[in-house]
Amino acid sequence: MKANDYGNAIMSLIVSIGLFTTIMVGTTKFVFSSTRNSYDLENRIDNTGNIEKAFKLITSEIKMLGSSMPIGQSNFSPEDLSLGDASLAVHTNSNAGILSFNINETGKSTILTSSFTPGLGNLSFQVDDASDIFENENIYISDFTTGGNNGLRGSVSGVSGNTVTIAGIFETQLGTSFATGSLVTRSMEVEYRNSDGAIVREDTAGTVILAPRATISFAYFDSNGNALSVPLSRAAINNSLSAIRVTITATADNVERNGIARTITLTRTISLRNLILSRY
Amino acid sequence: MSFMENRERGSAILVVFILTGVIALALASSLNTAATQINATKNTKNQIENYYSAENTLNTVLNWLRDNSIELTASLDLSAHEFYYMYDFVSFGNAYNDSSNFAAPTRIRMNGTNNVPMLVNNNSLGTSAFPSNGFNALSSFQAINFNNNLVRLVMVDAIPTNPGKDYGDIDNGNQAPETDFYPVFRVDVMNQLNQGTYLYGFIIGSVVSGSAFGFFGEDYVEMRQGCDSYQSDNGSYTTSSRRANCDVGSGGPIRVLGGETVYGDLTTTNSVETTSPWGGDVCANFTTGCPDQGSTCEGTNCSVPTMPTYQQWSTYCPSDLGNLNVSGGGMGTILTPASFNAPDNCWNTIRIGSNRTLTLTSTSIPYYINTLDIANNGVLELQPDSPSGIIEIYTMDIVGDRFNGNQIFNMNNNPYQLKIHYLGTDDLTLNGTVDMGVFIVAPNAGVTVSGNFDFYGGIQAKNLTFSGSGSVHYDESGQAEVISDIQFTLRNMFQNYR
Repeated sequence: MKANDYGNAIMSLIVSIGLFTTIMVGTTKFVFSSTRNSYDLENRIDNTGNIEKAFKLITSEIKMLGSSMPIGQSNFSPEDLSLGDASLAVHTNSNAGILSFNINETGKSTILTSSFTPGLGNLSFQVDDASDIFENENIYISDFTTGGNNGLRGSVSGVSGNTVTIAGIFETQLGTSFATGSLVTRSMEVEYRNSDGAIVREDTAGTVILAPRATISFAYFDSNGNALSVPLSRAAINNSLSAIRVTITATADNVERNGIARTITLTRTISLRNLILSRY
Repeated sequence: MSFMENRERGSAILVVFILTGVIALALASSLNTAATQINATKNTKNQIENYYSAENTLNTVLNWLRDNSIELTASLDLSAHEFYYMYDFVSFGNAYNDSSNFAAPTRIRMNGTNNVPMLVNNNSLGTSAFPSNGFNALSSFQAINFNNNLVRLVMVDAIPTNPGKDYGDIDNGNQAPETDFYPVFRVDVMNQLNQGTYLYGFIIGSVVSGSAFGFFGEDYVEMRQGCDSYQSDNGSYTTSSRRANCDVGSGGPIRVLGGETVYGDLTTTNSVETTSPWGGDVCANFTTGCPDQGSTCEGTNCSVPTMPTYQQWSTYCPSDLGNLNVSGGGMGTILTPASFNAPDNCWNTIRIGSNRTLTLTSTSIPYYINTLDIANNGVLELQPDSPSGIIEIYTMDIVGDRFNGNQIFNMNNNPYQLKIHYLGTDDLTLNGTVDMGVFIVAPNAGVTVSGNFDFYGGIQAKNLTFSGSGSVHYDESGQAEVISDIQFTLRNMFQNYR
């Protein structure tokens, strides 16, 4: 019987190797499949995350839109053609592919510490704190906090201590005077649009790609949810515009195992709280 | 045991080790990826939640202001007469109690202090200070659930509704303002002191002026006499000039005696009592049989103003001219204050002796008379120095707690040209047989009209009873505009994430 045992070991070894190989092949396939699924999932999550990051900025800025401006001031009305685009929180070139607006990025404001009557010979004024005001940027002055109905937009030509000087070309009603305590805010024009297959954000500091391989579109609504036609009229911006619906479609960085790069679309409607508040 | 069998020993554990290692590697890789994404998502979620939490809290503050607007109207007291007793204007700067890194430049201070009216829910944002006037704004504010956010509500400024009628602080010798003021608040909300969302906006309070009722009793009104109205600026009261605008209001019950008629409206946050002996008519016109009912509003949905608030007497008159005794000399004495400032328009006691007359003339400077003592045959006569000007008398005490139309004689003028602000607590009685024309405000005392005479004018009192036998006519020409409410509106909002 012992002689018969020779050969059993080799058979056992072959069976063991066979079994082990079968298990390893299955396991490897499983691991590779899981990794691939995980990779695809990560790809999608990355893509969604990229859109979310873009949305986070866009939502935050659109919500704040107009916070820098004398909106709601009857002597600085968006419907006053003589003020050009100075009194428009949302610019009239905004359409389905472009959103152009004014914003105070830092969320800071200061006040006039002495009255200011702008004129060609009087372009400087004192503020409580000029740390957020910079040369060549726009500022707005609003006297709603002092009981007035006026506004002004100017381009800062100089800052010295707490003295701010604006350039000789500025927009306001003739003869306007701003009382001590009027609000002074820095303002920046921001534009979101599509460019070369990406969503870009442009301001005076330059152009930044917010999301590559993505497109953005905008729709405009009044407080009842009715769509407003573009281009937006000054009256619509002044009296009706209450929300903007933003849609972003983005294609993932990498193709999935089916050979296709997945596309994701997210839509969000953002209320324009400062425009809405200005109408009460 | 064979050699091969010996060699096989331990192979199974090796296979298990290898398999476990491979699976563990795959799992770790997946978990790592998932953890990174979860953290990123969590951060985004937190940031978004912080924004909404701060914004929600800012709206909560706005709603608190709106919910308590009537109480805050009384508490802040931005009325023309009281404003400079309540507040000072300073150059824009940081107040003593607004001491944090987030201090906002403000122009207004509580009178005689360097504190700005401010409410905080956490002392890291400064120290609360707020006018009280019957409403504890601080405890009400701090009882609100602000979602763990830090909140500061600060009154940045107060703006005269008619800037041309603000003559500057009376402490500097200026004439008292002839305009009410409205507040400008700034509200700051932040998740934490140094991080998270920081949101702030401005809240403008629009003063709502309403007409004071012709006859108002805070606790109750008892009309045992009917009433109607007329406009003294259009001439004397006659049955052809009478009108049906005798408006009666109360924060408590209103009782109209059966058989009597109020030609006007009744408004109470309580009820109009109709059980006997009450239940008199309320008519919209003089048509016989009262086919057209006047308006009656009962219950908490009805709006009645709060009583006017006043300062302590020592605030109005930190010093005075002492006593004035009108007892000898000629037939009368004319009294004209030298200036708006104490002691020039303040007296401790003015006594008018029998058969003596003291004539008041000034319609631009109020008279502050702590104790007014008019002998039975003494006369306080009113001769306004402008055709429709109003002579205003502030007093703490009228000796005897009663007077008649002979003692305070205003019947040569329109009733509204004499306004008595009675700040005492002893109930007051108007009696006698001589017609009387006057407007009286008595926030701390009941007033009873009990004589056999015709009353022309208006009365606001803690409680009010008409029990005389003459007639009662509200003078619409003296209809006072009072601040009945403040409507709060949120304007420009700013935010950043730190």
